[in-house]
Amino acid sequence: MDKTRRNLIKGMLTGGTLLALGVPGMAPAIIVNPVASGSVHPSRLLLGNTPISEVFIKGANAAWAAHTHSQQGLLPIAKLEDILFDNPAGTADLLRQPRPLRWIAITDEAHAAILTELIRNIDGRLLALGFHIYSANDALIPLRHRWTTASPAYSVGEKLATMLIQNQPQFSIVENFLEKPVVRNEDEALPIAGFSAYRSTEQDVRDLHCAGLPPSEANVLIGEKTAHSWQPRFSGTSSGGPDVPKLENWVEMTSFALVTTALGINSHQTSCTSRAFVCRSNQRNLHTEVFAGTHFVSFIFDV
Amino acid sequence: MASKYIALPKGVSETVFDTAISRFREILGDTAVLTNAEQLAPYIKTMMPVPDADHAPSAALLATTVEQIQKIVAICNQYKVPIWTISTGKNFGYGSAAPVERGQVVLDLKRMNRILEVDKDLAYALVEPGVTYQQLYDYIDEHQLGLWLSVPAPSAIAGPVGNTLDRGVGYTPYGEHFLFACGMEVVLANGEVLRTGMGSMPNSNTWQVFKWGYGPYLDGIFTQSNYGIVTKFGFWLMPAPPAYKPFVIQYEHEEDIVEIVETIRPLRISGVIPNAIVIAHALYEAPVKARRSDYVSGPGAIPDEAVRKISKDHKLGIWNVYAALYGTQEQIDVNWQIVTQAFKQSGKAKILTEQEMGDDPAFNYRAKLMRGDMTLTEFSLYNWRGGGGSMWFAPVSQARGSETLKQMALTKQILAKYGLDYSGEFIVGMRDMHHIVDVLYDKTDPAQTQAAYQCFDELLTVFSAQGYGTYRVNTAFMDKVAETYGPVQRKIHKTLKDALDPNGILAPGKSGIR
Repeated sequence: MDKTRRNLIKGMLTGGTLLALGVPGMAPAIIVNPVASGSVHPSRLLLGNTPISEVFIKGANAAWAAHTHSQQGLLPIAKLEDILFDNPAGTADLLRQPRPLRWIAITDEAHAAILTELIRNIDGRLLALGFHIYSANDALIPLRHRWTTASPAYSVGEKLATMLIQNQPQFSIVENFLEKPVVRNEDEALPIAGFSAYRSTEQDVRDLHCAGLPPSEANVLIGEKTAHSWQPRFSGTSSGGPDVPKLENWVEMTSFALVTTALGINSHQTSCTSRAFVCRSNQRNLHTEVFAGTHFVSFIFDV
Repeated sequence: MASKYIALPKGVSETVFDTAISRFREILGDTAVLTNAEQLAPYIKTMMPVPDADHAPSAALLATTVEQIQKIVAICNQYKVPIWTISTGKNFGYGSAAPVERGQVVLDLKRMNRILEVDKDLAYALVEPGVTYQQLYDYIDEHQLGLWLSVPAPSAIAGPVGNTLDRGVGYTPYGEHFLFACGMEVVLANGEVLRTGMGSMPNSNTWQVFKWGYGPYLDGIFTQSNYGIVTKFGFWLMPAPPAYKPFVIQYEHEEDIVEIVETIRPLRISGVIPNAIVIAHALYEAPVKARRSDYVSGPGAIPDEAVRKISKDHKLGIWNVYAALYGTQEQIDVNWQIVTQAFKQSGKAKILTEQEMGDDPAFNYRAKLMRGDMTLTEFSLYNWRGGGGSMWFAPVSQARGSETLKQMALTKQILAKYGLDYSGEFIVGMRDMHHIVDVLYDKTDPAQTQAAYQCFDELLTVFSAQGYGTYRVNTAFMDKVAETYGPVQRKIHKTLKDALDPNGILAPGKSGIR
């Protein structure tokens, strides 16, 4: 390890360039006791160069508090800022230091391209990679989330959809799962509040959840080139929304859902290869416009 | 029933693949054979406007020795399993680390990362494929060898082997990287190991100093190809000059590209300006300082008026010519006089040096690249629009002003038709220009993703119809570009492929060759 890199890591661990906000600081790995809803992983938040970091922290801390019953203090946080541009090797060394650890990261697209490579370089395991954008250019579906996840076990979409539908008029969430699903008993699946559910089994198994529009339109809005034959699912009662603290905007909700998934809190799993949630209602919510033009990338990965 | 693999190689059953994986594990050990989704996920992300699933590998193999690679190709031949070799896998905007076809096994050589030799006197290096520029930079610095690298924009995290084999470029006088390659070791599909040039002769000590050897020159057929797996690679390094003077020359109008190129060409051919000069459009430089949404919203390409405002706000030219002089101070002084005289003639150029530019971030990263330093600042391009979509459109132009203007105007017109911006630069070769355009789009937007695909397809079609060839392309369009070079070349490529790799196990589809 060269001198510059050693110094960088030393600085990071002692609260220099990379800040350790919260307790108990950066150096020791956080070991969290299993909680009632399942075991949570030792985790750390990694904040890259985005303007929404502070808002994201709010949602992350809310999830951490909700799922660890606030016994563990705050979720440890590391801030990268622009270090990835000038010292990617030093960042890789930092990520390797405490093992095993689950990182929940957000960055801009530039740093995301580099971070993805670093994860591969250090033999990391990339569980979920998400692109999040509120586009001022798209009047139909301005808020879009696109995830590639290793398997449905790391799905964030359902948690996020159940929160967004309560205050966000138009959004889409698309999740692609790399691992082929084990088809499980349909009775275990529950409808999701506010959405009508459909499934296509023509090639792979695909699920579509629509609110305020028919599946044929939702299909187009998520960019499906094939006009799938969507079959309705569920006629029973919905599962209701999640029990979550009050969150103010979609960035906080994204953060909450992401951290909840990263902590390994159990959720309804699905047995499809891709899943989408599309909501298009006529309601208007002023909160959404606060983050118009915002875009960032999220990661959950293990080292 | 669910498969245990996220993808399978084309035409290979799961049972057969199981056997091949077991054999790979015997050679490499369990931890060097990756089949889990979370291990493979970092190999899958691309920036192309096609589903990432189209390029998902079935597995990744982390080899560390030539002998392991020989055994791997034997297994691949036995079970007809195709492999996609990467060195560091940083082919951003060209397909990254993902294979050209779904189900190919990635042969990842990142752990073959030994710097085998760096000769200070003869100024060359011999390295393995996993060596990064950062690693070599640190080595040279630590041993105080007084040598400079030439690096592409992903500098630190990329490596010389992959970049040169894909015929990438840098920005120093050694910027045309393959021109400075000297000697390769290649594992062929039949497991034999070839050393090219003088390396074929036992006990030769001229492998890294004389490129040609005897008989037909073979190194070229292992670049942008799938005829072998390069396991050692020699290349020349630039002696650190006693003095270095980077500068930028700004012009205010797009049409000025004619004057710029006509002025540069004689200076470049005669060697007065020795490096791979860059003529960067304002929108190529702007992302270092601003985001698109700071200036425009709504559909359509960014208007010229907004580009002019960006230029003004951030002290950029519409064209920004980055170049440098190298040598003794006396040499630089003489050449600086020649350069400034040439550019001052029309009165349009604004000539700026380090003194005037201070800590300007765009100038600083260019200055770093022109001396082979490590910086990843050019990645800022990906923040311009957001959404993670990027493809490099890379046609070649004559170093002639009228040609560059024509290419720029044509590219801009086609991009605008699809609502995309012109983020382009020209990298000046000896007599050519690499016209490099980053086609940036929002991959989360299905309509824009489709537009980007159609736009890129049209760019390739229109340019090839006008005789402009593309020198490098992403994995989604390799077949299309191969087609533009005509049937005879394709037939020769195929003939070579059949002779060297009859089972088609090495990266079938790379550069359109199967």
